[in-house]
This record gives sequence, C-alpha cells and structure tokens, in this order.
Amino acid sequence: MRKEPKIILTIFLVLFVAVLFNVSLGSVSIPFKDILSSLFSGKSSQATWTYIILEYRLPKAITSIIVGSGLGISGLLMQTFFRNPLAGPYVLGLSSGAGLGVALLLMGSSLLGLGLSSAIWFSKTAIIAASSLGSILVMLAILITSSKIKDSMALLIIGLMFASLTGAVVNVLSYFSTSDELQQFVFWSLGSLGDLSWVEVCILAVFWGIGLALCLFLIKPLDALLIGESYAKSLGVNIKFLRYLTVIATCILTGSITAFAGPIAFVGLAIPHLMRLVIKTNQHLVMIPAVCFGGAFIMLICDSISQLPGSDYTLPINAVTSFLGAPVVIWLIMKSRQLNF
Amino acid sequence: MRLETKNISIGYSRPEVEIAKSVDIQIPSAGLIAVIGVNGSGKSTLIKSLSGVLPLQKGDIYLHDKPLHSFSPKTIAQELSLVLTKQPIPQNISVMDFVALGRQPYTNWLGINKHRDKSHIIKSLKQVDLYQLKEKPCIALSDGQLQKVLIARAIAQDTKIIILDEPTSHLDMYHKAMVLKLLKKISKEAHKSIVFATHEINLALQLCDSLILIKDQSVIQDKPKTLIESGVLKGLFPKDLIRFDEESQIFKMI
Repeated sequence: MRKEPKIILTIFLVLFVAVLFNVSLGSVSIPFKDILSSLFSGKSSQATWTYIILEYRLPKAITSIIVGSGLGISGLLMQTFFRNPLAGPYVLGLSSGAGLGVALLLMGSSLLGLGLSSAIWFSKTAIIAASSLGSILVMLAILITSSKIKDSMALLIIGLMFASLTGAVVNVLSYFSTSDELQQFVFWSLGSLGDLSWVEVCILAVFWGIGLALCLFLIKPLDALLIGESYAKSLGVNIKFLRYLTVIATCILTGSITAFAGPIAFVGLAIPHLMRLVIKTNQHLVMIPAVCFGGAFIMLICDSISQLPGSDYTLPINAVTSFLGAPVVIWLIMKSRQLNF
Repeated sequence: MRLETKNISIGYSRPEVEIAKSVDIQIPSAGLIAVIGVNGSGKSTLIKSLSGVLPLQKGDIYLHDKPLHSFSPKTIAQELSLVLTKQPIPQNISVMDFVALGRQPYTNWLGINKHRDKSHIIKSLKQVDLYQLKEKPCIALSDGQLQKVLIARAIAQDTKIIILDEPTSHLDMYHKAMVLKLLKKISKEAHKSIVFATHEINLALQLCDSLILIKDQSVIQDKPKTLIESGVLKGLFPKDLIRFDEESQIFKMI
C-alpha cells in the first residue's frame, strides 16, 4: 500500500493546476507569464494586473476551494447522518435561515420603517452579518430540537419545516418590496464567490478549518452509522455525541459559507455522490479527503466557466454549478446503473 | 453468570407499553440459547433490551455480576455484540469492509485496522466459510451468505456474548439448519454465549442448551427437556392448527 503518497501528490498537483487555470481567466486578459510572476514574486509588467490577480482573482480561487470542499463535506455528513441520498448541506434549513436574515435586511428595513439611508444597510458586511445571524438562529433552533428528538428522520423533517417557515416569511417580504430591493435579494441568492477581501477570506478559512477539524472525530462513528443506529450503538458509538458533533460541524461549515458566498446550490448534494461513484467506497477515512478535493476542484472549474473566458460578462455561479453538474451526475448514474450509497 | 437480568421489565416509553415484567434470565459462560414465542410476544424487544439498545423500564442487567450501565459503551462493545437481520445495510459496502466494522471497539480514533485487527477479520470470514467472497458487495450475496456475513461481523467483534435477532428468517430449511449449526459450533469451539430469537422452535429444541420462552408478558427460561416435560409448549400456540407431539418432541400440523 505505498500508493498513498503518490495519490496525495497527484491531488495537490491537479489542484495547483486548477488554481492556475482559474486565476488566468477573467474579463481582463493577462499574459500567463505575468500571472506566474505576480503569483510568485508579487510583481508583473503592469501594476493593475498584479492588483487584479493578488487582490481579486486569488482570493476568489481560494474562496472556491473553501466553498466547494466545505459544502461537499457538509453534504457527505448529512447524507450519512440521515442515511438519505437526497440530503445535502441545506437540509437543516441553514440557507433558509441565512436567506431570511438577508431578506429582512434588504427588503424588510424599509418595510419596518427604519428610515436609515439604504447605503448603510446594503453594505456587504451588513449582508454577511445578517446571513450569519439567520444561520445561527436556525442552528440554535435545530440544536434545541435535536436534544429533544431521538429520531434522525424527525430531525430531517423538522429541518425542512424550518426551511418552509422561513421561506414563507421571505415570500411575504418580497411581495411588499420594491423591484430594486428584490433584485438585490435575487443577486444574493444566486451566490457569488468573488468580492471577498483577504480579511474576509481568512475569517471564512478559520471557520472552514474548525469544521474540517471536527470532521476528523466523525470518521469512525459515521462509518458505524452506515450500517444503522442500533449497530452503531452496539459498537460503542455515543449516538448523542455523534448527533451534536455532526450538526455543529455542518452548521459551522454551511453557515459560514452561506454568509460569505450566498446559498451555493447543488455542489453539496452532488459531490459526495460523484466521489462515491468514482472511488467506489463508503469509508469516511477515504471519502472525507476525496470529497474535499473533488469539491474544491469542481468549484474551481465551475468558477472558471462562470467567468465566460473572453467576454466581459460573468454568469451567476449557481447557474453554472447546476447546469454543468446535473448532466454529469445523471451520466455517471446511468453509466453505473445505480447509486453507490 | 456472564449476563443476567434480575426482575427487569421491558417495553417502550411514549406511548408506554409493557411487553414483559419480572424477567429473570441467566446467560451462562458458554452455550446456545434460543428466545422463542409467538409473533408479537416480544422476542425482538427482549433482544434489544438484553443488548442495551433499548432502555429498561425497571431493574438492571448484570454483566459479570456488575450492572450493565456501570460499563462504558466501548467496554460493553468488547463484551457483547449484536446481529440484526431486519436492518437494511448499504448496497455497495464490500463483505470485507462490513466485517471490518466489527473491529471498531478496538481501533484508534481514526478507525484504522492494524495487523491484529486484520487477522481477526480474516479469521472470522474463514470461520463462516466466506473468505473467497471477501471483495464482493453485500448486495450480490444470497440471503444465506448475507446472514453469514452478519454473523462474521459479530465474530470479528471478538465478544464473549453474541445476541442475534431472528438469524434464520428469509432462509430455506437447509440454510436455517446451517446457520443454527454454525452458531452451535461457534458457541462450543470459542466458548461463546449465543442468544438468538427464532421462530424455528423445532430446530431450537434439538440444538439449544437452554430456551427462553415468552408468553403472555411472562418469561420462562429452562432446558429444552424440562420445558417439554412441564407441558408449557402445549399451550404456546392456539390449538386449532398445530400441536406439540410429545412422542417425536416437535410441533406438527393437525
């Protein structure tokens, strides 16, 4: 079994190439030589190019890696935890909570008669704060319910109900809001990987690191949970501890990503399935790094495509992930005739 | 006694249902013990309660003369393993990976199997005669083979007590006999205490060292011979279709 170092090295090489590819694309075309020199020495033939690469494209590439791997891991955790192939990072209602927070900020402030100038309210930091607050509230609600409820399936349904509830409030808000406010909310809900400063990327990376570190303690109990809760219990797994840790890890990963990048669709649900079909195992010791890498890689590719190389336009990232990902997943499932779950 | 219950009540809470009360069961240090009773009498409930998956309503279970709840979950998992037949398992997990899960109580926090764990896994696969199928996905197995895989996982867990819930359901007559023979062999050769719920009363009477009979909320445990002599088996089922034939010592159709 001396294959592992080679595989890990290949993975990092592929990821590095994907980052280079991602950084070299954008509405301003920059020669590849200048991209390399600004990445490695911080200098290139034009100061604007260096600025674009180091302050805009590189943070965006790193955000892509964090978002793709974090959402993929959340999806994997939720699918194993609920033993349900349809589960994804948002089944606990976190994105709806974040959506409610942002909707209240963007559309509710004028409705509630907060006569403050809109510029303050619509700033990016305010959106991040509102989104985090919404996620945290839903997370607290879920933690309270999960301490009262023993059945995982009941928790799944309750998560969906939370989503429904918050969705209803958002609907009412959008009905009464102006078209400007509505457009802003729609833009937020389409997701965005760019526009994050280095400080924001670092904050996101800290949450991502905490979430992934928690996952390390979940590898073994989640393997046992694959064959059912009773079996897991008979193997010495502390189900209550497992439930709390899984919910907390998912909330930290998904909540922080949604706060900074909006509700990114599809990747969280699809990447675990893709990786299971490719590497044909269910063991979390292999699956967690595989999903991490797969999510990061696919997100980088999707972001590169959303730049529409050679044009001035960028597509919303949510449209690209689904437009590209859905056919790939359908094709893989048709090819192997069954879901590896 | 390896495992012992002292005047326990088993059942469910919310809604509160009492399945059986004043249950006194003794599982000695080696032997094959069957739990029998009609459908819905509480065999599965007793199995779940004995294995600690279902909380008791009253009383305590004693493992090596100490209350079960005084042990850590990990220690219990090293003393007592469980085989559930009605539980669905993932389609694509391989036989080897499934059996390997039995080593969890012994592995480190990442669950990596060391050399000793691997030899346990291989030994238990060989014991149920499935070593050549170790790479196959569980979904490709027949019901009889799958049952053996489930038992192999419990053997790999290396516990003194194995508790099984209906290991013979869905199997044909031959494979029922085969699984029970296998359990008998393990209990004898490895000195394990094996408790299993079953509907195969005829086979259990011939093979088991002791029987646990659940009827009308009460639980009786005795040797097969004593149970037959006491006549309690005659009243086990309604008398219109089958009866217990004392001469051949099996249940027969009327």
